[in-house]
Amino acid sequence: MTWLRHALVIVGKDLRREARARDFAIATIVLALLMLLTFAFAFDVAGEHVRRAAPGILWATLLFAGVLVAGRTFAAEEERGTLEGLLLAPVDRGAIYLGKFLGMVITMGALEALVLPAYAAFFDVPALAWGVLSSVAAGTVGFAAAATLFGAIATHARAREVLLPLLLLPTASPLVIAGVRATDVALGGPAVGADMPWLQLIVAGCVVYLAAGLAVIDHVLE
Amino acid sequence: MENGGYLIAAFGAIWLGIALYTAWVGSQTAQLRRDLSSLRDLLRDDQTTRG
Amino acid sequence: MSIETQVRSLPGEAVASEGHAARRLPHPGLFDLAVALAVLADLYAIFAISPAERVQGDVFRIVYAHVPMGWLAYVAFTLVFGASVAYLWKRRPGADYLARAAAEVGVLFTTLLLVTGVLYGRPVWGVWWTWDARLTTTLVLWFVYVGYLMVRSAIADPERSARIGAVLGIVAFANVPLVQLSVTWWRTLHPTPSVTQPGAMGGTLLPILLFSMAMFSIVFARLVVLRLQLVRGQAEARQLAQLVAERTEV
Repeated sequence: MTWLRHALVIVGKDLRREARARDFAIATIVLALLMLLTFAFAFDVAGEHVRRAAPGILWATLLFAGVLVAGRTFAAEEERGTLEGLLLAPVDRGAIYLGKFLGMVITMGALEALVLPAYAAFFDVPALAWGVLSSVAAGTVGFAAAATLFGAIATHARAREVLLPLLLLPTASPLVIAGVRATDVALGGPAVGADMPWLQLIVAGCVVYLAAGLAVIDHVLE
Repeated sequence: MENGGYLIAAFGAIWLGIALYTAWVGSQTAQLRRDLSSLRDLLRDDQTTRG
Repeated sequence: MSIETQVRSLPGEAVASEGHAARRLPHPGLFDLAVALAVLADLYAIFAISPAERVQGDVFRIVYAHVPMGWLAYVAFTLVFGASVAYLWKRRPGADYLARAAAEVGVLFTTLLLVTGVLYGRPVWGVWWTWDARLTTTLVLWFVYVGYLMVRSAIADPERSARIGAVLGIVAFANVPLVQLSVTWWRTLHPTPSVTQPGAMGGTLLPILLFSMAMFSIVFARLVVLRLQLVRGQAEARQLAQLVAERTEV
């Protein structure tokens, strides 16, 4: 199971790097909180609009932060050198994909652990309910799977920083649509759509994105 | 004909779109012909000077 | 090895003579004239032969263009998928050229699909746009393949661009059945596919629709061939330029 070992080594390396140079991580967390504030202004959430806008605001914020984290995964300056090194070594491409993917899931998880309580407070919603946590967790996994693939694709392209979200957002849209609906139901929203298995849809999306990523990564990271 | 504006706009958009695309491909192809021609001339000249 | 031999031995489409290149570059000819005549015949059928629809009036004729656009967009992206698989399997540059050409024409037709849809929807449904399943997934489809084209342009190295393009061409294709399935999974404002239901459309509608479909298919094929020849020629020019650079360096 050397590929698993390689994957975990990559996760450890990336997380250690982020922990050492904490600026990016801290700035991203602050930015995510700032997004909550900005959306509060944009959607005029004093009053009964809060409830209607709340699920969307959460997912839009996480999407925004997720795009930044995704960009970081393959593109950190010193990372370019180590990526070349990884590719030259006989490391299984799937292991690289898995390592980057897990690193992103953990990073997003840490971010969400801080953003969700703030979100629950700002918008006075039970955001730590199981329904919300499960859909956010599943959505994060699916998003990370797609983001890792597109990050690997974009790394060789010009305008990389813009291309990554350009590729990622349309693909992530089913996750966002299902996630917002699931969160809406979990926050006590209207019964419309409560019968649909949103969480199962998101989980299915995770499986599809992971499978697709693992299947094609060899061709992307040649 | 009511709603005639929408009808004309729709078919106009279709054929304008196709025409513009064809024109673009055409002008790129003309440019390409020029490039290929000059490249071949360059190679032929090179061949001549080398004997 | 003489320059002529070197050029002839270039992988792919090497050109050795003026005549050879000129033959493979498109010239307006008899075929294009036939295409133009087919277009005019179809427009005549749409506007003069087909009666106006009972409820919707003349604006219904947009359907004769809108439906073929949708179908041919699917065909285009299926071509991209097939060419992408072929490229990853055999690494033939021709497959990559086809993928690029088909993707571009596909995006053009998807754009026209959305435009005609909007222009049809406003008078008939009263709204320019609605976020129902079919329109939303079609818009996502548009973004996905626009992304494909942008990635292709953004990667400088041709081989890498082809390889990554092929991966995208395969992954992106998942969106095509999604558009179809979304209609059956969710209630939608958009009419359900009725062409495949016999007896749903009577009289002149179906024959004229099929004629329009055929006409636009020919236009589609002509556009893909035009674009394909351009892509091929540009690749060749790049190879020739490299050859020139190598010779002049020495």
